[in-house]
Amino acid sequence: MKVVFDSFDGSSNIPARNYVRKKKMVKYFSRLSAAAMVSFGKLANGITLTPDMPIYYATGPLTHGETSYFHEMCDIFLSSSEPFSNKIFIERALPKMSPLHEFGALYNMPVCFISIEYGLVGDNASLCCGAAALLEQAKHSVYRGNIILGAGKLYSDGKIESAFAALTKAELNSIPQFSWDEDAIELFRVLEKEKAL
Amino acid sequence: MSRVFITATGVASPLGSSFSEVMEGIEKGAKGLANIKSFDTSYFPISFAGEVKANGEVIKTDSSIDRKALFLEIALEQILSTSILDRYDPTERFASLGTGIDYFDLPNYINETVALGAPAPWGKYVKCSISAAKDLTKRLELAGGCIINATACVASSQAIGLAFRKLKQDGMGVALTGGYDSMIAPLHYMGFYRLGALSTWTGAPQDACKPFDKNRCGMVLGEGAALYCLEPEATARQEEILAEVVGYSSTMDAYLVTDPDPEGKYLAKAALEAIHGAGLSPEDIDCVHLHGTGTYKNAISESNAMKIVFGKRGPEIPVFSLKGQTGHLVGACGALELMGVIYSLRNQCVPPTVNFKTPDPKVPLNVIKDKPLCMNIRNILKLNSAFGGQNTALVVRRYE
Repeated sequence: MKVVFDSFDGSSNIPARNYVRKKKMVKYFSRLSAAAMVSFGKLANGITLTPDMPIYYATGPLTHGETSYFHEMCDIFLSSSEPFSNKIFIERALPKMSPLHEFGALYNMPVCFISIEYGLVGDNASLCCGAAALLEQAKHSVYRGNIILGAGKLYSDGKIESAFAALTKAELNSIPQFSWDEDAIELFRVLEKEKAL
Repeated sequence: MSRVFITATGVASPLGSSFSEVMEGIEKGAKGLANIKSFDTSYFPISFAGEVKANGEVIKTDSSIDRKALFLEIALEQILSTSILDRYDPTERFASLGTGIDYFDLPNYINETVALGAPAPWGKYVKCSISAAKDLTKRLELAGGCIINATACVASSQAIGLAFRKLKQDGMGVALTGGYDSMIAPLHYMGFYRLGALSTWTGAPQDACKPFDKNRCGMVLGEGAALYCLEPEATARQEEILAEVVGYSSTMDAYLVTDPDPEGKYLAKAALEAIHGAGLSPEDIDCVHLHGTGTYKNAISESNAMKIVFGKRGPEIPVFSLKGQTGHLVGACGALELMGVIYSLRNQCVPPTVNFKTPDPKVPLNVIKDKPLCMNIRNILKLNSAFGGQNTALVVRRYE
């Protein structure tokens, strides 16, 4: 089993650019996607990836996501001191909204970018769930070889934790049960501790 | 390994909020797309959508309401009326649901921001997509857990696929599965507009989504929820069985974040894996219910995938897309479109694809138009693809 666990504080630069060959893709990355690319890049270094290897990834809510354009939109309403109106929204605030906004809101983007960068074409799922759900998804995979599990967590102060592991089915089945309320990232904290022992 | 059956449905859709309304809507070729009525769209450069209707009227909500959570409740009520979940111990009940991106109440957030003179607390105006499902898990005592899939446009078909795998492998329990989603609100609706993803049609709204047509001009957003009970052979009651799920697979294009692979290689791979997983060969598939978004690139990708899967039969096998009638339900599209599959199995016909008028020589598909094609249908292939390159294939069989 190989496990990678990364943590990036809210102000840190996430060096995703160092982990992608297709540099143009970086413009689509949210901070969570950038963190996933870094962690997956470290995981991929030293293991053999096969195109059919399944990847299952879970995060919590993305609602603390990228908001810089949002502040610009708000500033427009604040400067006018007027409540929400379609006229201001469409004519003045909307042009401030990046066309790339939705890439930060879609839960499947980290897996999408990893798939493109590493040529993964197999079974997959992007979950908005905890550790138990991620394990349930993986345990019912029909693939017989190694499986990749990943998780990301975005904190309200901008901190991001990101982790990936490559496991055999036997390793997967030996993981202790998690409660349905535990964040997916906690699975990787446990796996990393086990690896260190 | 157990057989897995669909035994109950619940729905809230642009064709209506009951199973019978959806069946009737498909039969009549009802057009569920119109100008948006659920919120004010004055000044919006575009305002087409498939909004959920109940008793023939669009359901209107205050901007503080996350519509997808409401639609989940409407569909759930129909499932609960069957009492199927009650027949199982809480430890045997689980949910596997697909959904979309989190809701944000932009108008009220802006209003509080202006009142405060500074950005308002963010979290108060966010409704996380999983909140409704978490609440449902507690209320229904789903002690077997709740798995929420958020893989964009294949979220609900992946959720159904996981429920199928679990019941097939475990042979016990009951799954509440399907999807719920709505992006018909100012922020995400205009977000998709800014992305250039929406139909550029300028005519009548009901004609805005034209899957596979030569003059197709993009997708139209829809909204809704479609839920199912899936049960294994050991406990499903014969008289309640609507159809049998027999195969599932999911793949990724690994191509571009914005476009499907034009060759459709991995969409075809998903289809073949699902067909073979069901113990079938492509010759056993009678018709295909495609993703059919109404975009130029989707049609190219799907028609090429059909050539790979079916060979010479690719341009001949009858195909259908529901999206001309409902719009694109994103995180719930696969689940709603499974009702189209059930329609075909029950009525032994492939419905016409609404708004398909002019064939495109670059899209050599047998899209049924104008009137249904009546035929013997035993096995249907259902395909979906996501923004981001994920694909799903389900094979669904008439109950015998």
